[in-house]
Amino acid sequence: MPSMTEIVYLIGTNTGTGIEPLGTGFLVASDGRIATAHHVIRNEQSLVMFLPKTNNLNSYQDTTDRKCKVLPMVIDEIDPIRDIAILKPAVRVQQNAVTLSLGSFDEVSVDKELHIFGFPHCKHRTVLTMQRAELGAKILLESNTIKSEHAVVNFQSRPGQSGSMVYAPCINQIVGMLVGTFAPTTGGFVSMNGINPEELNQTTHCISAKYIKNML
Amino acid sequence: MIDLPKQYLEEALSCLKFYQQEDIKSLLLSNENDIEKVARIYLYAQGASNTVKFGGGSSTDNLFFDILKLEVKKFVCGDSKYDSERKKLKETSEVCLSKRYLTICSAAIATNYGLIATALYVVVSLILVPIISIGVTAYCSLDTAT
Repeated sequence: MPSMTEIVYLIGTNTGTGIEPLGTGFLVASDGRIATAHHVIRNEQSLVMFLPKTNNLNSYQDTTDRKCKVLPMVIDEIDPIRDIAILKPAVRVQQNAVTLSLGSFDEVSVDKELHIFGFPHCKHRTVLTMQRAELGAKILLESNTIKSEHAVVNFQSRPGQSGSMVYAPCINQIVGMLVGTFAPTTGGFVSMNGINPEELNQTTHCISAKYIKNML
Repeated sequence: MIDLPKQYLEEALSCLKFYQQEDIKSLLLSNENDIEKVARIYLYAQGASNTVKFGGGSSTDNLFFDILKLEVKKFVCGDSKYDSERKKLKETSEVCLSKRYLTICSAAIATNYGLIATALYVVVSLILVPIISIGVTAYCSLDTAT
């Protein structure tokens, strides 16, 4: 199995004065294409992918190391209905990247273990983190009357994790991508120190990887 | 239910990827075949409802549908702003629903607004359907701001 450090990447934008991290993305094709959430890159132009500082997830990631090497990326495909974007390298790169195959939640039972790889709190630090959770429910979520297959994954997600890869060890496949967490969007919300308390739950929404496959 | 200009809609759909075609057909069905409404929905779609997002920067949408529609009109009707881009359509200056025309038109408008052509391609194809169905000359003579 390839190292997750070479599959899951931090996505950012070159602001002209520096690189601003935006969220997570992951390798979905051997030609270097990356899937992420559309809202991660929406309205951004100078997209980049942070190159990994280590090839071993077990090594200590230095949170004081602010240096980074990036690869310019461009948007290849967008599905705004399901909040998916596919990026590709802006320059020619080695075309034999090794990734995992794409599946869907159809092949995973509720209560099975899932591994989520992403960059939580990416605005403040760039730590590739693995979290373990169960598949809590399979749900259809609606976007402008179109319903799409999602999963509720039983863990609390935070900023930076949109676009995280959801991996099912039981079938050794990527089965989804994290797109956010449940919070009712009607009736407004109370903000406490910039945080909506309704976001603080263990009802993370992940879109099925079958839709990513359709875009490749 | 609005009568669709089927021939031109089919031409527009043939320029799209399969997953896009399916979504546009579904949106037309649930929006009484209102192509402009569907184009507007597609431009502003932001994924599943009741889902708080955890990523992205501070940039906000800087192209509204009515402005996009106006820019398409400028491109189609020969506004000098897009002369250089239209020259890229060397073999024919005719407005048409082809991948080449849509790509060049989307890229021209995207560049002016600091956007990515990919984000506009589907919406531009939908905006062009009624224009071509009523005829470009007739459309360009209409004195409408949007």
